[in-house]
Amino acid sequence: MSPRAQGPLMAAAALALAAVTLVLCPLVGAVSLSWSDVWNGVPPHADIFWTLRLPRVVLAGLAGAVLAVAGTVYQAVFRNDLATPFTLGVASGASLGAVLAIHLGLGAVFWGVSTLPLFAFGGAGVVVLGVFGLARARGREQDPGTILLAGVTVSFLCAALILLVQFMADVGDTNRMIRWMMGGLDVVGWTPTTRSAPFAVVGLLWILSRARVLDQLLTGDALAASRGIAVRRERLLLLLAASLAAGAVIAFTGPIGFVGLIVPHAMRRITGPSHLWLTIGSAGTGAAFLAICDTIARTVAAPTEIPVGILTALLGAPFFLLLLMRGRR
Amino acid sequence: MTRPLILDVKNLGFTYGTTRVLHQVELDVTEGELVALVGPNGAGKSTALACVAGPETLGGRSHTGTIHLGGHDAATLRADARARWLGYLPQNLPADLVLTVEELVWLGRHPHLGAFGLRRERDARAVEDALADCELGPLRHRRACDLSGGERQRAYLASALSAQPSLLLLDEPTSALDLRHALSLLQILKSGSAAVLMATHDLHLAARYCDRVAVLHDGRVRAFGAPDEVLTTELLREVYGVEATIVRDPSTDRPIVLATELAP
Repeated sequence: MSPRAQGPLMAAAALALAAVTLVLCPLVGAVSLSWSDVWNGVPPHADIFWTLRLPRVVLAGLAGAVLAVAGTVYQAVFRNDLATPFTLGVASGASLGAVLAIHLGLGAVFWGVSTLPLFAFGGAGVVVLGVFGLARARGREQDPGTILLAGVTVSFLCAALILLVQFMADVGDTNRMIRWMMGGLDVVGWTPTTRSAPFAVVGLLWILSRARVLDQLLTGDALAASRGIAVRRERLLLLLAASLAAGAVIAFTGPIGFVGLIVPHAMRRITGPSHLWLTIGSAGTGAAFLAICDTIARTVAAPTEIPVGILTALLGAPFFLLLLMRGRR
Repeated sequence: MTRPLILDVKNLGFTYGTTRVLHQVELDVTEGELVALVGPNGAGKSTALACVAGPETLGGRSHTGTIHLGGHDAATLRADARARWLGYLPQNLPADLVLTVEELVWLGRHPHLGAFGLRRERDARAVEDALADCELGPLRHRRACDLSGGERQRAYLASALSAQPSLLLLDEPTSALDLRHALSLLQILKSGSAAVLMATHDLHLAARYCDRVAVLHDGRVRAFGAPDEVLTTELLREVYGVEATIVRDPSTDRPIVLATELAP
């Protein structure tokens, strides 16, 4: 099959996989549910489905899609295979915000959202904007290398501050902080999804609309610029869109690693490098992958739930290694 | 010489930090012409090409002086209009590109595509022509990273040609190529319709194929004219600091430059 035919087909397959996952995963759990019970509103099965299972699976799908697509953007913009949605400090900024919220014990609620995710999103936003500010102040141009270095530096700064806060906190709070930083999708109700969705959806749509720009960036800044791409502006907006979408999601889920690194790589081998299909494919596969991981995380040792961030790496790493070996031939 | 001017550079200056890279550079290229831009390392050849290619290729830094493209002041041209008019291949092109040759060539067509990247009949024809001109037909489904250096350079050239530019700006396009590939690249340029401004260190190729040669030295144009007027032993001694023997190729009547030793 020619590469051009394979891309759309595989992207469609990834979306179909995501759809099937979102339908089936809510039925699996400590209590097995059937569609007919849910449909007929049989208590407590219908309640479990609508207020516990479905919101959780949808949030997992949203987070997985956002993290995978953000990873795709970061890897293209920095032309670096190791770039992840967290490379510019989104995760460390969010974590710093979260541990501060836990330490300060603030109980306020805004727009239906409690302090912790607000602080986490605020932390992510401050760090991302700070990194761009630093890069801009350092040189007149914003070359990707400077942005990358500024991001890594700020991440280390946040990590040190997180340790400082943990050092000063009592044991119970420290436990909560560590648990949050492992990442998890143990939400109740729709608030996390509806609050992060605007950022996530706008970010994803923006990135999708810039797929051709991402393709051009593959050939380097100078060549892309000569083809009429406003390289610096496009790069800034793409990174902002990806970072804010990722920040909005991990404000509720905590940093979930691996998805943003591995899914884009795996999809590049399957859909090819064209970013339209790669982005759609990554979104679908990321959503399905995280939803499946979370389903396993909450069932395999039920009633205990394993933090999903642990599972994404445990399940994803062998799969990706297999893909790597097969690709080498 | 009444052919229309494709490129007209007047009083071009460029400063990077406190270093003056280009000073009062005057250059022109007429329709269908091949012009070589030669000079020692650091003379400002790449910067001069990038200035013509547009401010975005220089990371948004601006130059002084004026650049006219086909009679239009480049400063007033929109980026997409400029992109339809000229093709540019910088010196360091990614070698690790996982795109296929065909996909790479389509990327070059970008400035002409319709909304949402819509590909029309004439776009497909331009891409096919570019692939054929660069003899890439058999390689079209190969990935650019799997090609040899010479093949990959041809693929990038095809990518630039697919936009059917009036002017091609090439930064040392033959530096990584063997004798055969270098000659074949120049043949492609010579038989194409685009005017070419090409930075190169290969004085032999410049003399053999180019209509005119511009010699840059310390950011200034030291000489500009037909190869046999410009490439003299005095100029090579002054600009490159080498003693050279210049012989005439009996079959083409073009000069051949042989650097023999460092000038005292």
